[in-house]
Amino acid sequence: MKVLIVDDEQAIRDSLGRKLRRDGFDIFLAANGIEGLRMFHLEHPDLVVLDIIMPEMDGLTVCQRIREVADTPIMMLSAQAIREEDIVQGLNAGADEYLVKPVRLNEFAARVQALLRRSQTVTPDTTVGYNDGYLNVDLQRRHVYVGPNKIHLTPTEFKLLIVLLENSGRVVTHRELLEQVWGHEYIDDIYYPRVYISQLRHKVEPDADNPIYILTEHRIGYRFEKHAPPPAE
Amino acid sequence: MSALNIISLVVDSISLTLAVLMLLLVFWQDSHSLPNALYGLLTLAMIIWFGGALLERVAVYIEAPIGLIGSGIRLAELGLTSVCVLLYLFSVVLTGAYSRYFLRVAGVGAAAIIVYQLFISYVASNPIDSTTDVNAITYSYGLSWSLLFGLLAVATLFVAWQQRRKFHDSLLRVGVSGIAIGILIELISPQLSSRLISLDMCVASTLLISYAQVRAQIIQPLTGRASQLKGFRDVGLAITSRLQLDEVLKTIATQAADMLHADGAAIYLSHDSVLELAAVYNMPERFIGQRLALGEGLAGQVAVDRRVSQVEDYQRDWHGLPDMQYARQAFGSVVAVPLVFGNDVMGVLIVVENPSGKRFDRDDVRLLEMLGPQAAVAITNSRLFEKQQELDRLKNQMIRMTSHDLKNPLFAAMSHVELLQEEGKDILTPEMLADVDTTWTQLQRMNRIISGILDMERIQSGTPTYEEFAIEDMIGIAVAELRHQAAAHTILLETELPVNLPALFGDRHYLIQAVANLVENAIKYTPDHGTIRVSAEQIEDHVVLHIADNGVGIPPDAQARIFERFYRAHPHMEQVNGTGLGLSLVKAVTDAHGGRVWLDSQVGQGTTFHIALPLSGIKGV
Repeated sequence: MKVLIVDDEQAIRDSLGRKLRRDGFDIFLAANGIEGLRMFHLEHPDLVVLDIIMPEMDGLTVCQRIREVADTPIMMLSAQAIREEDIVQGLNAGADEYLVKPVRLNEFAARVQALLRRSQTVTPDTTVGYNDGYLNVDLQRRHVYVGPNKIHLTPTEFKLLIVLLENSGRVVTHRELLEQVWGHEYIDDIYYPRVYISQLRHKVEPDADNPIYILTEHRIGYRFEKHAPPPAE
Repeated sequence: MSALNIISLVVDSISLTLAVLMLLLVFWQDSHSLPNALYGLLTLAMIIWFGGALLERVAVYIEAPIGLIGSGIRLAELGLTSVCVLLYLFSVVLTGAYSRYFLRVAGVGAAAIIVYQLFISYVASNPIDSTTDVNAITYSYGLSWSLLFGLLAVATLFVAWQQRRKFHDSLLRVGVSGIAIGILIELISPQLSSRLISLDMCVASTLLISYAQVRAQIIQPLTGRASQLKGFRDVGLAITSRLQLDEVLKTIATQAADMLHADGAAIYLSHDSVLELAAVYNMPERFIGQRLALGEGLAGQVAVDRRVSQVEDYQRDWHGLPDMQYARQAFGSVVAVPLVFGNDVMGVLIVVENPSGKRFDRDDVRLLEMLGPQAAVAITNSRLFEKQQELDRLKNQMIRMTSHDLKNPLFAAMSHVELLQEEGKDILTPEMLADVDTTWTQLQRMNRIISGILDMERIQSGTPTYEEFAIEDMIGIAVAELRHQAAAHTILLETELPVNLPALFGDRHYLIQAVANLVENAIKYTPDHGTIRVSAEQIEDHVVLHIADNGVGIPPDAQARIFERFYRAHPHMEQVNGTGLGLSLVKAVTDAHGGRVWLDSQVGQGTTFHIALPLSGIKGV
């Protein structure tokens, strides 16, 4: 497994790299955003760890650039997080995960493992997809169509959609979502579902502001509402 | 004497009595202003004219000696002369349509004419040509007098027409014109004059003027007070509800002009003994930023005098430096009020009418005088607010920098110590490993302090992340975190929770931390073998948590300060190590949830902290 670590602090790159290397990863290090992006295209890592504040090109931009071409899981690692908006901003840029410095090396390594696990194996319990004529989810091939268009979902978004779909008609609480989509290490990161639900809605809902599929249950969680397929011709 | 004339005289005397009563009312309200003084003199002249007319007719009626009749006529002539002169002066002063030296020249002229009239009354022969018929005492004024009266009457009519916008009340204009026309009638026809037509008209017009004066100066201010107060309150609200300085200034200028129905307004702010034009309403924006030294211009003068000042006609009456480049051409009537807060003149507000506009009256000046302090407070507020915002911005920036600049090296150090712990455990001596552990503990402590500061910042400035959760869970997690620590001090840590507690809506993470901080605090200040009890209960629409210990207690003087950052109630207890942020975080979290935290404590007996949280969730959620 290849992990690319982009951080302008040499001491941090060094310790993170050593930790992951000892856990058996192939490590690539970059000291700024541009170098990181170049190395990404060169090495095709399985996971990217990105600092946010860096010279040349900041982590958010690197993240967006990577997202334009790949689904590679991205972990933001920043000292910057003060408010939820900062974290949400990171996740909105396409990151799968936002860790705040300082973090214990063991926890960091565990999160790297969890993120890789999450992005690699999406094995839905049900094999039945969903199709109502507008929204079409093909679980076998992991394809999602909205109307006639095939849309692109990141692994996390896809998993989120599947968990909601499996529990359709029932409210899934924030914590259930965190546990099932992200893993129980994430149980306290309750802004994750909110941000990802918002992104998912923009992709699958006819009108993201007035959702008809992914409904909010105020203060509790979210519920997927199935719609009757159009009459057969 | 015909019945008609008798009726005329009776009606006129009643009218004049009424006019005098109204005059007294107006004088009671304001006897100092020039227009009112002239109005009083005019009424007096009218009474003299009427008195003369009355005397001559009564004298004829009772067949008194011809000298008495002549005296009546002289009196009437004196009255008429005074009425003509005073009417013209009154109309000019009322409309402010005079140039710089007019008042002095006109005053002298008027006095000369009246004295001359008195003089000739005394020396001249009996003016009566014929008294064959009591009902037709005809006499003429002579060409020169007629010409003078006519000129004055026509001039008055001209002023009344040309300056019609400047009459506060259209009735005043009608009254002034009425008297002037009456005078012309008097001159045109001795027959009409003998029938008292012109006198009737003039008396009626005087009554009209009196009524208009009472209406404008007494009735309208009284009836308008409610709406004026409401308007004033609205202005106050509009001014004080804004926080950005430029918005506040713009609002003050706009509202002041609106309130006075004026053409424009401007605000100068004082910086380092210079006035700078900071906001305008309905004036060229390009003047903004222009400066006046203190004492320069009307605004500069007002800033020095600290008193409201009114200039009736800027072009005519203001002799100092102009307030703005175009002021001499563009300003008519101007009121300037200092904006004083405490001992400082914050600035000057000027309200301006264009040269052909109305003149400001006493009420306008008073209103503006009342507005001044409010405006000064609003300006001070917004200045403080902007300063505070700037400080907040700096603070946030510093916290961000701290977070980044300290956390990166801290993280680097911590991760390397972790690597050393792992990789060195088989190589290092026990002493070295102990050193590494100490380094780790101290780095962690540093991290706690930085995180504490950042947490405080996040709670105070950010939006908490709300979710619904069980109170039992919150307390359970907080207590579980510290059970080990309590056990180490052989402190009994127990919870007492009723079964049917409702769910709470709030930031679970920080609420757990708040409870944990209180429990940790209790552990620190409770001697070994002590007891700490955490309980909760629902009281109406709040849930109240109690964290009680039987520790050292908090002295009363320290209780008030206990929630301040870095405050320590027991600085001498060296062995207690903490960040000094724990309780301030409790307070910040509670505040952010719309709740309340307080304590009961007895030195030597123990302390109980209480946290009340609203169950309905938080305001606005």
